[in-house]
Amino acid sequence: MTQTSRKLFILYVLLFLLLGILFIANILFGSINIPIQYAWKLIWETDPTLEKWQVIIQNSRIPQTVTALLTGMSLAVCGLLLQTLFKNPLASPSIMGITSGAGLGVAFVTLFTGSISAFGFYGYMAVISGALLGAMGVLGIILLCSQWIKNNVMLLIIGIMISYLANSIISLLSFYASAEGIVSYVMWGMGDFSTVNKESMPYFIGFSLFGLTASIFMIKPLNALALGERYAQNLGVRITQARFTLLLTTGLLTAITTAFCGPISFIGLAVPHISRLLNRSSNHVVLIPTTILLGGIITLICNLCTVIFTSGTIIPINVITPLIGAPIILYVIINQKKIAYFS
Amino acid sequence: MKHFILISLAIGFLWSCSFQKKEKFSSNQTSNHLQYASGFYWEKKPDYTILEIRNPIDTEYLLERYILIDSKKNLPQNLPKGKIIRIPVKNTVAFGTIPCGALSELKALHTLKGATDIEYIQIDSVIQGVKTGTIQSIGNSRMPNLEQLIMLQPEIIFTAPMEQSLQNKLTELGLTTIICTEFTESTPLGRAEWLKLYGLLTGRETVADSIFRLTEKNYTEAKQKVDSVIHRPSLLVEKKYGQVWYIPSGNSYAANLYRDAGADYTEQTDGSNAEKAIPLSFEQIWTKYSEADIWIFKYYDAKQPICSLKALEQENEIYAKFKPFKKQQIYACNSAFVPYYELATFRPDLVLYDLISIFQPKIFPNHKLQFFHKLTAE
Repeated sequence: MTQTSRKLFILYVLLFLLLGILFIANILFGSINIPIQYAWKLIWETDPTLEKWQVIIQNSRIPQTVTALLTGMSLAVCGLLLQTLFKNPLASPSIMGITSGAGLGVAFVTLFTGSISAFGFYGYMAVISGALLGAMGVLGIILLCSQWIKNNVMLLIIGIMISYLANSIISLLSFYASAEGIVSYVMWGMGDFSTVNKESMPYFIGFSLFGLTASIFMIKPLNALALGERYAQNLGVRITQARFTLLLTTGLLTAITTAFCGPISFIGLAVPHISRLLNRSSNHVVLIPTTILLGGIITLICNLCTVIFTSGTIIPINVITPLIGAPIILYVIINQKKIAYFS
Repeated sequence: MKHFILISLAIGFLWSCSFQKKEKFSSNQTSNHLQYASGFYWEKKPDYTILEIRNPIDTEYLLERYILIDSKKNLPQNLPKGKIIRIPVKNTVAFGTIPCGALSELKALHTLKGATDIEYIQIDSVIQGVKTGTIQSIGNSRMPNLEQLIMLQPEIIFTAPMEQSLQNKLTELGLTTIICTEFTESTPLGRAEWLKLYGLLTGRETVADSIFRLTEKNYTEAKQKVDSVIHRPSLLVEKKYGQVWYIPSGNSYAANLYRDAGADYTEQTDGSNAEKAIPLSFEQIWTKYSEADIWIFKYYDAKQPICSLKALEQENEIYAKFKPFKKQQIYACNSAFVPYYELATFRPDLVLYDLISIFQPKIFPNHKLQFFHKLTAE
């Protein structure tokens, strides 16, 4: 085992360990104090004498933790794919308007169908399809623009403009929505990992794992694209196909997380940078797994922070994520020349 | 939830007002005209009437003073400082449903020339007025159509606290707003007594008095019947929004109403008497209220008039774990189909009858629910 491989092995062991600890901590600690020995017991077995705590652990904390974990992993990997695809350190689902596009899709579906849950499987599929179409639409426009506009900052501005456009349509829809609808939309906008229930969990897990697995299969084209399109073509990478697959994967992962949990900010933007700084490498063989693991870790930390610093209530997740994400982005911007991932 | 939004707006509005020069609220001595309400006060002088609205946050201070002068009389000399209003007003605009409810109760809807949030108003004569054009729809209360307001030139606009920028704009346009803060009263009769303010302004003082006396009589008599009951069912209220479940504080209007109707509602408070919604996590609600006897909530759904247990479970499967769900003891009020917000403020006796027949069904065995409906399986 070379020194680099050994370092990498230690890093992965530590990340897995941290992920495991945080996963358990998210289940053991919440807004209600459940003695650890009972909470631990209730993860594994049912006990009718502890029914109240059992519902909290099994019906609330476990689904919420799984949702937070997969959302973090998905958004982080989306950020990495976009940053490589556009060769832009500030690319992320939220900044490039993909989250807004997905949100617009969700807003349209909910406006026309009312209560999504009332339609069971078809309702969830409608929401996911709406979010996917919205996300893919935005990504498609940006990708199309990237054919003519080679300046990364300009592309980023186009993403921001599309985001404004999507938000203005959402505002128009909200303007005519009911008071209850506006409240629901505001709450959705704050981010919420508690919305994925037993019925929708299989779809959420299934689509998320499909997208995450697809991202692992894209390591080779990503590495080639990072070196430049011509170089990638010389290596035998089909550029159009690779771009389309990346677009589809990013769209799917953003759509699934946004549809269920609302727009979660900063994870997609910040985590790939932590991953690069930790690995000191731009090789996607190490970046993809590290980003996936770190996405899960950071989001679980954020989810834990929503309950442990309060007495009884819950702070919205989008209040916490910028506290972690913003300093990292500032660091990257200030040290852009020193870091120079995409030069 | 509606109150939570209203209070948030109020706090923003009042905070911005705090930069203005503060004046003491005149009356810590009790007004003869008011028994329950503490948010306003009026005093009749030979040539005019002083009407004051109390700042609901900084309660020692004044929010606004109005000088009401009979429209048939000349403007008296040496008037105290305040916004002058000629009464009875004949041209009013209502921001929101509650003022429409008051004017409807007073049979003074002929003064209403415009209203915001028309789609939420459940008063037939207002809906009809909008159709025939006697009442104009002027957008929503967060963003009213200012040009329409200028054309209408209302003598007064009844409104809840609004954003300071909008308030300034209305003042600039020479429009007088009556900031109604009845939602800060912590007792149902305190809120109902605000009808007298509307009566005073529209020249329907006697009508307002008699309606309030009837409300007070009905309310206290019904409450007295409940006072002696021994078993009071425990109560779970409202639903989860996002990650948070907002419930009224123990000293709030809603809590007092539930207790007066014979329920056991004892949510901890922070010591404030103001109407407040306490944000709790699902875990806290579940720990405290999973074994509640009855669950009651209000919602807005313009598509389905009634809610079912199946729909509630589809909304969130965890609701099915609560005892009231299993025992089918859930009651809901869909404000898209019943005039809850229009009537509840000024006729709490009618809401009390509904609640008593839910919590203590033996007291009014023949009462037919007017606002709430019981959730059935389908």
